[in-house]
Amino acid sequence: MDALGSVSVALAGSGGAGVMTAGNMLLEAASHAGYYGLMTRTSGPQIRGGEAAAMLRISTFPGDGQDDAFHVLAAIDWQNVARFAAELPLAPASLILGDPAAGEPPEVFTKSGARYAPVPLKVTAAEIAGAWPNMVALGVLAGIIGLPAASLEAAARKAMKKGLEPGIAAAQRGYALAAQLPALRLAPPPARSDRWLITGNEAAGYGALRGGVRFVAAYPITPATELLEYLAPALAKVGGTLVQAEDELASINMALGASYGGVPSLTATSGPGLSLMIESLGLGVAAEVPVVVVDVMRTGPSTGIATKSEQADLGTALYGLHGDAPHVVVAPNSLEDCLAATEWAVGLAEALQVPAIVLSDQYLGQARGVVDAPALGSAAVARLTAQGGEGYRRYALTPAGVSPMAIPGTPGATYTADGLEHNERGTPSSQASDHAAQMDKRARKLAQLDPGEAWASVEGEGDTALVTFGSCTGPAREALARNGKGVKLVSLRLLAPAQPERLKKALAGVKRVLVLEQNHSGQFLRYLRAEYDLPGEVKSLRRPGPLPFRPAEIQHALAQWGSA
Amino acid sequence: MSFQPVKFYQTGTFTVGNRLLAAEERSVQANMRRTNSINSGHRACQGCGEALGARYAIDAAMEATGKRLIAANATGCLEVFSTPYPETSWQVPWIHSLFGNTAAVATGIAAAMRVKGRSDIRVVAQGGDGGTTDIGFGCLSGMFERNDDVLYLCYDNGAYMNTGVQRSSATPAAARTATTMAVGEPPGNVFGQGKDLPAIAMAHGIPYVATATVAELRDLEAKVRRAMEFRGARYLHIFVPCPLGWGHAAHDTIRIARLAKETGVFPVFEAERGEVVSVSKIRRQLPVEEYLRPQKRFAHLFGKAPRADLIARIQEIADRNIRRYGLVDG
Repeated sequence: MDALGSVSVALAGSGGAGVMTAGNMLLEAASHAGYYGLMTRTSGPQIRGGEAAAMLRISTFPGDGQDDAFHVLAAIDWQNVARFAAELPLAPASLILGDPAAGEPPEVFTKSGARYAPVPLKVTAAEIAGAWPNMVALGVLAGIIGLPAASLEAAARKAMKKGLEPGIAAAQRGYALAAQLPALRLAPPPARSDRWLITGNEAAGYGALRGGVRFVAAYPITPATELLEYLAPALAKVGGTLVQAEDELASINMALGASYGGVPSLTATSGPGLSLMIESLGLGVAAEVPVVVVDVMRTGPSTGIATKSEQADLGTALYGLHGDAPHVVVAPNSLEDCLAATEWAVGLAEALQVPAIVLSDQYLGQARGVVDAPALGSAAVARLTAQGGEGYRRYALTPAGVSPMAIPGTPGATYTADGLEHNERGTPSSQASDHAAQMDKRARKLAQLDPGEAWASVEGEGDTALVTFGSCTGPAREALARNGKGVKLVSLRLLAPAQPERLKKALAGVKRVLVLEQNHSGQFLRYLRAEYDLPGEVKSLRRPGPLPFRPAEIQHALAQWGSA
Repeated sequence: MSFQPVKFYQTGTFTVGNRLLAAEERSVQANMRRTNSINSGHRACQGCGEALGARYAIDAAMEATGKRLIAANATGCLEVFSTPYPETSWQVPWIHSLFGNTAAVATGIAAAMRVKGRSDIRVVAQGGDGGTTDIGFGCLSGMFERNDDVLYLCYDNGAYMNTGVQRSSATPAAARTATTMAVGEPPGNVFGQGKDLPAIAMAHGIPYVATATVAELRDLEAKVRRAMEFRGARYLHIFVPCPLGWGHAAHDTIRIARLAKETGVFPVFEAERGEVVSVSKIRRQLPVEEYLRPQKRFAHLFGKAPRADLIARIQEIADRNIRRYGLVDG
């Protein structure tokens, strides 16, 4: 058997069993040993209790998609793990590890044909005072994967504050137990390079800081809360401020107020919060106040599945605003791209004096990965401000559409910023001519945007195109890396304003287009149909959250087409 | 030989439900035929004050209304832990509104009952302190102002617990949360006192406002029963310790709630049409340190550099409560 390029292991158990803690340490250990890695998580909605699984992929190559199946499913207990069965696909060659004290694994897992091997996690942990079964499981998994014992210990020392020595002892026992289990043959690690261990939400937060954001208004909502928790202390270090609001209406309007006051501002939320913020985004468009909203999408509608991922806020982000309201929508298409995309969105918002929405999702936001050090953008974009003087016109009809914005207090440049339609001075106006002129101005500044190469990731060549966005890009890339001859990947990063000329060029010569997205109604397909001319035959591959696409499904969809 | 019947009144204790009492004097929870409207098997943490408070409040409301009750519930811990996929603990008609709108949804239900001529069916709305004092405040004030026929139950644990302990506007002075550092250093919280929603409710002049804690569950039941004797908007603010968010032992929930009352940190009273009509006196007054010290969220007050100044300010808040509500005789 050839050595594996990546191994996928899942550690499951009931809430409080410590699967996330152990998963994070396994990822640290893999990173220490020189591998790439990704940990995604699945859990119920409650803060404690319920069921949880840490899903890891440790690999010799970078990437943020999941594999087709897990090589190992280890469970500390089986209480409600069966509920996640769809998220934990196994293959006949897979291995199921469970504590014999916790009973047999559920049939929903064993029917895959995977082999079951009992491992005495609890008994082993009980032999060491102060040790827990999750650390034994961690050791077993590290042993099966073949990570060096030194990496395991280093990860534990880095992560554990309490119970370190018993924890290390338990992990070492588990590591020794692995010798009796079938080993996974993971290929040696790649050459060392500059890498980060980061979550998508942290990356987005850092991108915001790099983009120049110095005020953040926050209101807790899963799965965006970590972004705000990251930013609270981080902002303080760079002289910024975070204020927790009483609801999403307050947080978006605080951000608008701060931006009007001259400080680049941002808030983060998820679908229900975005819906509440929409009215104020309209104000941002009309009064031309830059502001950024990071929408970490979860399944909807309504409260939906608050802890799980879906790409179903696309329609709201693009078309949810009232009136004709040109604005920017950017979608990061990898974990590390959360940084660049958010930084870019801040720059676009500031440069164009518009609201910008960053469409991240729970998968990217809460995934923790070892990634190549992200490319960092150049200096933060400065807003075009007015220095004052006679006859200041805030909404002057400039050729570029962007007009100098006077920060309140600028001598001689007092003006009224208004959501009412207005003339060039900002004075409210109900005249048709002012409305037409200001609508043209607001549309013009977006129409003239030149995103350069950043508008999309265009990879590969062929007469079939796989068109997607966001977190679907990871599995799409992997599918094409396996067998992508004749297939071109186009992953859109700038969703609004649409770039029809650029997509037309990218799809020149393409005869078939497969549109990949994670929502029920095909929002991305409808958007493409509305904004672009798609060549040749078009097919849709979609399903609602929370199950991520796996590379083999995409390969299968492309292959079916090939034979048609 | 003469026989003197013995009555096992446990006067002077906090004991709940004595089955030796006459049936009509027993607590709702002591009744074998209580409705169990939030039944067991839910996913609240060990020692959850909110689960306890909700069980007593809803069963009492069911009894008071002859089981003609509809419940609306804001997003939050109660909603999440009582409805773990694919199960539910609720044995009453129950709607999960969104986060900020429970009062309005409940108002709508009450209006529907009126339209249908079924005003005998009563409505309760429930929310945590975040859903009540922050995002739901506008709808709640509207419900008060219109005097809609709804009993609003606020379970106050002083932060957004389900999303990971972020501060709310009911978070008390100097309490550490995931989004507030220790007081005083940016981006920390200003030294506030939390939003005093019972007082705000009273300012609306609604028929009935009361506070209760899970340390005195018979008192909680009695207040729900009393609230159901009124028509119009009623507000019951229930103090529910949270072991996870407050950092105290799970078995100390009742003790912490009692200490909040006995120190004056949380005044327990009833008000009708904006006037206080009764208070639960402090039995044995204690300094606020007794309440603060067992909770990790206040640990920074007792660390290497003890913050006697902040503790003194919290004591001032308690003393003001004691003066304002007459919590101590003499």
